[in-house]
Amino acid sequence: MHEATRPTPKVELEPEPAPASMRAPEPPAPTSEDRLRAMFDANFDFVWRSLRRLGVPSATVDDAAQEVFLVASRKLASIELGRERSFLFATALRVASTARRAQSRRGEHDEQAVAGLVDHAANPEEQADRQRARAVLDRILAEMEDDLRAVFVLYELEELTMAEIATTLELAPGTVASRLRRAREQFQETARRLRGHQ
Amino acid sequence: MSEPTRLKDDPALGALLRSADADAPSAASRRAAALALGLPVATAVTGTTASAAATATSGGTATATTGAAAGATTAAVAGTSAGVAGSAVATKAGVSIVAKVAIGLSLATGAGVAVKQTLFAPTEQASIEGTGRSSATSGSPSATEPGARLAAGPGSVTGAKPALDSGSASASVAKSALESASASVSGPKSASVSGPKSASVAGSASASASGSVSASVSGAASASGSKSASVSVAGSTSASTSASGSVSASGPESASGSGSGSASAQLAQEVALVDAAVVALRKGDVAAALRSLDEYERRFPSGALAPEAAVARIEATFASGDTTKGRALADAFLAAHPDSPLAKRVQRLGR
Repeated sequence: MHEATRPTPKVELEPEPAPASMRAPEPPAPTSEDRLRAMFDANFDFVWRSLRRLGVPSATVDDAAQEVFLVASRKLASIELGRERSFLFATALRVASTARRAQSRRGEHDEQAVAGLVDHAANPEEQADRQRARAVLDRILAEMEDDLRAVFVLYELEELTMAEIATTLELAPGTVASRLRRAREQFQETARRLRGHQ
Repeated sequence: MSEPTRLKDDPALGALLRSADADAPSAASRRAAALALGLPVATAVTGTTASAAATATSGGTATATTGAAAGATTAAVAGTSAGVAGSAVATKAGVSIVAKVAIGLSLATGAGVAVKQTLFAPTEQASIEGTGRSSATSGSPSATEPGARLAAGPGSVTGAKPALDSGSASASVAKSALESASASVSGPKSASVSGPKSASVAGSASASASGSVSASVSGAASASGSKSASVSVAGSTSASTSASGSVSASGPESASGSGSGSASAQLAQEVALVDAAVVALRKGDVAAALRSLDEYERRFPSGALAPEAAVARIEATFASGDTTKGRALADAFLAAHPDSPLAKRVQRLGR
């Protein structure tokens, strides 16, 4: 169980806003709280799941998800309307990468994966089965390069279309297609090999 | 762009990918994040599909009911009544789930929280119900941690661990709604509950039932405010501030198919050993990494993760400074697995 500490917002060195007289008139946009709320409601689960499959351990994923949204809330004004998910996923990729490095420095296991291996007695068989399958899934994903992994997670797990992925990751459609193809080949090959051994 | 068929629909690989479906944030984590962002909590728990209705009578009960059709992604119930918010979230149920949350409170001199959770499934039902009291003096974040975890087979219950640093929770899950279920919680200022229709949740509890239906239930109640708030069934204590509670139920997919999708226990042990080696390696503990790899090779001489173990050994060997041996192992690996996705990594190591 981790402490439910609130990450303290870091002080950001952002340029001073221009004086009101120099700024363009505000568009009739929703208030920033409404926008934050809408962004949070629509994307929190997506961000949380993405972080997990991008390799953030269960013990720290809540904090990582908070961090993603804290970053987004600080930068809210600079996030283009309609590009919220794209911004959040890009942020999640960075946060996940940092979290993975921190985890390997500390040498921690994903406690949930480990619990799934050890805690047979306390869990129903089916749940244990699923946890083991998830540990294997994460193991396979961990071997993918980050670029491939991001596309794979969005397509196969989040079930975005390739066009949505191109928009989200700001990639050319052809790049999405080729990364997805390579990622799927790798995934299938590894999974086939593992299954052949059962 | 032609969209390839998603692997979740693949008969062989689907279960592996779907194993991630039940991995979702708890209501507590969602709420903690909303709090961190300064967003009002009561509305922080939202559902994306099935809508929910909640009604409240003052000093009485709030009941929210929702039904999620089979296969529905998410169903959520949120009930709010005078500072007490309860919610239930059912996620990815393979079966239909009805969740009921009842919150009763008496406003004048005290507040009572009763959380009633009933899951109906075609073949099985689990229920948790109860009322109780709890006191929490801290702000809500501390009460939003995932807490007690229970696992229940059909009609049985196993263990619990403390929900909060300052309290502990235990709950029972009865297979049938007719059997009584009880939950007890003790908070910093003590609270205890027993018997049918009595349960209070401070911190959180999650329970899961096995069989053809899996359900996990977690509930959280927290009191926040300037100083303290207490919630009690007896209504003897005045509650001056708001309290919130939430219950979330997720019914993971029904039994994973045997064979293809479900990972074997052996494979899980293999993963654990290879992961241990990789972790040790990243920490710079080459000796520990090699010990794990030795054990791996001893226990699983023709294991599924043999290539991964071999690559880890190559890395460990280079890390130990023995580049001659490292190169030899790398060459052997490349000769044996020229087409492996790992080959590229080995080539980089060899340089």
